[in-house]
Amino acid sequence: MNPNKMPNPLPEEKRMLLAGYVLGDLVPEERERVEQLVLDDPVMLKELQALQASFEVMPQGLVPVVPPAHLRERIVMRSSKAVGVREPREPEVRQSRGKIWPVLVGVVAISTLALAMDNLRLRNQLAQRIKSDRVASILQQPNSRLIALTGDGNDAAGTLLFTPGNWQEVIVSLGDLPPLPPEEIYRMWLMLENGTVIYCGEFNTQNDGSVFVRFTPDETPPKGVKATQLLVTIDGSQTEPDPSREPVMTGAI
Amino acid sequence: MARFSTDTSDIELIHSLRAGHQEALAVLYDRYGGLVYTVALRLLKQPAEAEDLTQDIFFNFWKQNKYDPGRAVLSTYLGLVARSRALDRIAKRSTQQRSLQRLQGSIPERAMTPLENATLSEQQETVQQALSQLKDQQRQVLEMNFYQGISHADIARQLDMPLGTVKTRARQGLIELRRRLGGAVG
Repeated sequence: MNPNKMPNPLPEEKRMLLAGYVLGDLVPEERERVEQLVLDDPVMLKELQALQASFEVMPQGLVPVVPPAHLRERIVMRSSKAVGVREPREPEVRQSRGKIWPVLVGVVAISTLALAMDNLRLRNQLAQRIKSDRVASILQQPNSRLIALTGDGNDAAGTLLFTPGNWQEVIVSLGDLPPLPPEEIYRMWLMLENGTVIYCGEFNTQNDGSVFVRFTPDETPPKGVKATQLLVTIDGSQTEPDPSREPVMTGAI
Repeated sequence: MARFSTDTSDIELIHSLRAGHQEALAVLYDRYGGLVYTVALRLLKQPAEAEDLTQDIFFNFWKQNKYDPGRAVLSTYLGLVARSRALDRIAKRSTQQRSLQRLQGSIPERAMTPLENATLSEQQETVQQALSQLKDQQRQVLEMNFYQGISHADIARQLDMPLGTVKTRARQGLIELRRRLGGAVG
């Protein structure tokens, strides 16, 4: 390859800050500053991603060592013996059955005022969990909306992010949810003002109880019926979704 | 039995693997086994342990379906997983505290770079050349941190220099690496 070398428009101080972010050696205040800078400035975001890409290809910088020939056979044999005992993917967003998008149009209309006060705080919380330019690009849009979710009887907390007018995805970021045994799974629901609930999707936590998932629900609520609440329940992973279970997290819309 | 060639894409192989065609795992190993083993051996230093880790990584890759092709190309993913898992093992056998959380969650959702679109051998040639062009003091700190899993604080102690100097050299080294890679990384 012949990489194309380009001049960098950012000042040294900002590039050093971004490099420190990628290397993980910033103090919390500096990290927050970087995350805000990246949200505000696409040039900074692009440079952060380029530094991250540079850091992440460092394994390719090692002179290759040829593994011993028997290793290939061991791996192939081990996988052959284990056929039929595959474990489920984790974390996983399974089939989404709820069509949340038309409801979210209503969500925006009724939630704008209520969310205005909290939006900046929630935005900052989610920004701290930035894992993708997708999140950053949604957050950069001035009309993006965040709904706070809090635990019922537990310390879980988090946010749901979406963009009015672009109903292709909802991003959910949660923390401190108790990890579940394999036979159970978290499911998210949207409650409507007429008391019915719409299924949005299901997920598991990381080992530390955090969740960062993207839903693409597809079920349509009745026309003209407003959404009032988001719910998270614990359900059987192999059972049909059951909206009657006690919620472990809720979020008012 | 499905048949695969050297032209079969990683995505096709992964789909085949998830559809139950285990022979796809051998093809993926032929492509990336060397990369994973190289990283594991550099960090763990023991060939037996590097073999064991390589085996675990490919086995879990097949068994757990954690890889999301939308988030990173396979070579980047496996290289980072190899480093992360090797650091896990080092941490378990060491009394030193290391923060691995960031590394474990550091496989980002970003656009695929031109470098990642290249073949593995092209990637290796490009990155090795770029690293060789760094100043010795910058490359030393970057390599100790990335390839040996030594924290900046421990590097400062080992090299008998202030922590701030180590951090500055590491950051300058990464910035220079990014500059040398240029448009290949965006």
